[in-house]
Amino acid sequence: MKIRPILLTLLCLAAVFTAPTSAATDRGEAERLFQTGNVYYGEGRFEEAREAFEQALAFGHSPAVHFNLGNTWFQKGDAGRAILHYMRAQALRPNDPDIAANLRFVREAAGVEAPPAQPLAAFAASLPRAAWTALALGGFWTAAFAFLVFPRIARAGLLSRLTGGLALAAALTALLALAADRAHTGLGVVLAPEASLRVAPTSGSPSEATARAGEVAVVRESGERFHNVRFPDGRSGFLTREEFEPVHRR
Amino acid sequence: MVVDKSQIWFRALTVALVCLSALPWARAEGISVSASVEPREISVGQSAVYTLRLVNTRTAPDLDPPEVEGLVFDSPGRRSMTNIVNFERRDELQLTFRVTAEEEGVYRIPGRTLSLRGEDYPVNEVVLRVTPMDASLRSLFELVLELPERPLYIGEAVPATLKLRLREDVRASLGGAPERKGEAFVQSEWPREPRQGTETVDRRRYRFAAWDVVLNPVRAGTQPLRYRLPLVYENPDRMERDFFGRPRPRQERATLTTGTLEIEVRHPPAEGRPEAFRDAIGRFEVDAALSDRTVRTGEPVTLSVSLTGRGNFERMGAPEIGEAPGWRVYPPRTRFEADDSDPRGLSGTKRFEYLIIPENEEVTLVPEFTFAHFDPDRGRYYTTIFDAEPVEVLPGIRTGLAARDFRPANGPGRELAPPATLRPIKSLSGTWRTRLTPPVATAGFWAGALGPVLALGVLSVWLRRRERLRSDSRHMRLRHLTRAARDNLALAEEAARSGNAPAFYAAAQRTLQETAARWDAEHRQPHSLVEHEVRELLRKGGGDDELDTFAATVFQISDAGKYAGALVENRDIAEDARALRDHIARLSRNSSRA
Repeated sequence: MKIRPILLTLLCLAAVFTAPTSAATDRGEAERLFQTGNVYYGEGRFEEAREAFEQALAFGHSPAVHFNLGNTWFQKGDAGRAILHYMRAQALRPNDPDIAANLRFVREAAGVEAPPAQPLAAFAASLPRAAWTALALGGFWTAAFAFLVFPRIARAGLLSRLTGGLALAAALTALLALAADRAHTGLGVVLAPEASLRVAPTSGSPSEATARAGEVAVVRESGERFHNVRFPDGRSGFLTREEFEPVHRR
Repeated sequence: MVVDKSQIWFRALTVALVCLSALPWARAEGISVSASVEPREISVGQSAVYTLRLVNTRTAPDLDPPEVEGLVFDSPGRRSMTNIVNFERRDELQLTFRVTAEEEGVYRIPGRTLSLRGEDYPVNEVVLRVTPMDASLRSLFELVLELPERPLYIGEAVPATLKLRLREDVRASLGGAPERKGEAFVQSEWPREPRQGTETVDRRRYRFAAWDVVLNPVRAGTQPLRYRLPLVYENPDRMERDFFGRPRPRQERATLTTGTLEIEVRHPPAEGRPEAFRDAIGRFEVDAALSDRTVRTGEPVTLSVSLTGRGNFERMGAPEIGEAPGWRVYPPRTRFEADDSDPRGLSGTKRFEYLIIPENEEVTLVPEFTFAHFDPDRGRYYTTIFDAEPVEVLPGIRTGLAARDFRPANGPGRELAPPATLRPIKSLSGTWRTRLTPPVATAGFWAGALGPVLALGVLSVWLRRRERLRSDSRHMRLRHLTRAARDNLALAEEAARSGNAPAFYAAAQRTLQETAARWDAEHRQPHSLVEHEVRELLRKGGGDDELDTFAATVFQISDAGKYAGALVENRDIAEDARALRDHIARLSRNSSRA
């Protein structure tokens, strides 16, 4: 009986299952801060609510925290940051109607337009990202098993080939959806009420155009102090890190 | 002692070379930094050059231009030079900033401290005097901003025109795009091309270029606003002569400014502000219409509200429907039709289409609504109330068309209208994640996910090969022969390198036998194949006449060495080794193609 591999496997499993203990403590603290923020928000103490929600984000990300933080920033009169947090919430939960509604509402209030829909965006949003990921991996492994492993242990028939082909097609479809969803990770939001699009990454550089808080642009490149961005209407230039923030921080 | 003349020259040249090679290490003085501005006096719109000189260093930190209110600094230029005088090297690095004055005055460009090689060096302050623009220049052009002559209001869409006037005989071109300075205002984009025309001001004829934009004040109080525009022009009042001596107007540069305008910005007055005011500022006419006055329970009707006029259509909120018991009211769908005659897009009609659904037959009136707006020209609010109007509600025919089953007209694929209010915060935090970026977007995730699949693929190929070796004796024999031929080829090449002719030809013979055995249908031992059999088999494997001759030669020399002890003479072993390698490679290619 080979005992060592079994012991090693058990040790690995023990490490995996004991690791979340400290994470659970953090989640408890995050949950407490989230509820504190909600209480402050209910009392109209938006600055305290913002602090609590942002402290909660230090422990992890949840669509609800970003959503509530978006509402808080809007109540504080900062449409840019509100839109940023709604987009982060939407990245975590693409199908939430409340997030979509508030995003439309704040954009309308701030007078900025939504960025043009990405190709296949609706298709990618039809399932949560986790479901697409599971489908991609499940399909891939099923296809790998059907084409590589199964013929080694039994006679590969039409059924196994058909299963493998369907699994591969599902995996490729899911990869396509994930790739379409991936296009969102390069977006960012203007935070300053009016930001000058500089032609070079220096503070003294002249500017050719301006951008308004809440406008969404694609991040082409990020430096230490500046982001090189491009807006859907063709405007492009450099914005400071204070004026612009990517939806997905790197 | 007699010294050869050529030796004197040689010594002098050596000394000169030593001196030249020592130049890079010539002693350099300590680092010094200074600032200057040239010229020290300019007039408004003209430019000077502010220079930082760094002596005895070739490196400089990245410097932002100085910040002086009233002066505009361009991005820096760099120039470096090295002078060697009396074996003393002097490096000089110049950082130059073009500085343009926007208003008259005495400006102090403050000193600063530069940190070089871990030490701090102070930079001196310099003074730049700016005199008013010369009267003759002022008569050539001017830059003005046309705004309504009244206070502006936060949230208002203010029509503004930046106008460049040029005296009719002045030829000019723009040195860049207009620039605005004023953080209390948000401005629409510059039009692609300015509007052009002519006009008379104070009995003087001007050509003009006008940029029509919209300004949105965002901060209350007396707020500064200034525009600047770089210009290249030919001054008809200052003539110079060209290469052929003909007079021509001198080409000059200037940066025109509107000067700092102090603009009064106010909040829309709190006094008298109607409840229904939703940030609509401008002049509007309101109209409303109902799509049908007879409706069944659960069936939608559209209440259309049209606002026509000029104002901040982008920012205004939808008119609010009052208390509507018995009605289900959906957020309005919004459309704006701009008036083509207004290049700024401030004029037009905005329509709000509310879907309203009677929930029971007792409803007799369409809900009333109120629209309020602020007229900035008159400084007062106006309120329009649309009274509740009678409507006939019949019983619903199809029970399936209950209000809760109604799907709004703007279905999937179309932009939904924004909700009338912000949806409330969420009370449950939901799932927490450690990263905002999805794991699927990281390379580590894919490496972890696909790595085992690749390993599985490699394992599968290895298993398949092993199984083939077990079950396919022909494949196993071919593999064995290929390896044996490769090993003997290596031995032959080694023998050729060391000049051991008998060993080379013996190894070459074995190589040919093992290669030929690949095509032997009788599966004989390779070493038992004799010369004519090997040649036949090699022909079968695609060998040409040259290989045939080469194989015969190798066999003869090898056998002679083995059995007769004959010496190999007049053979280039290296050449034979190269030929052997080429022949074997060609046969292997033929074999793999087959």
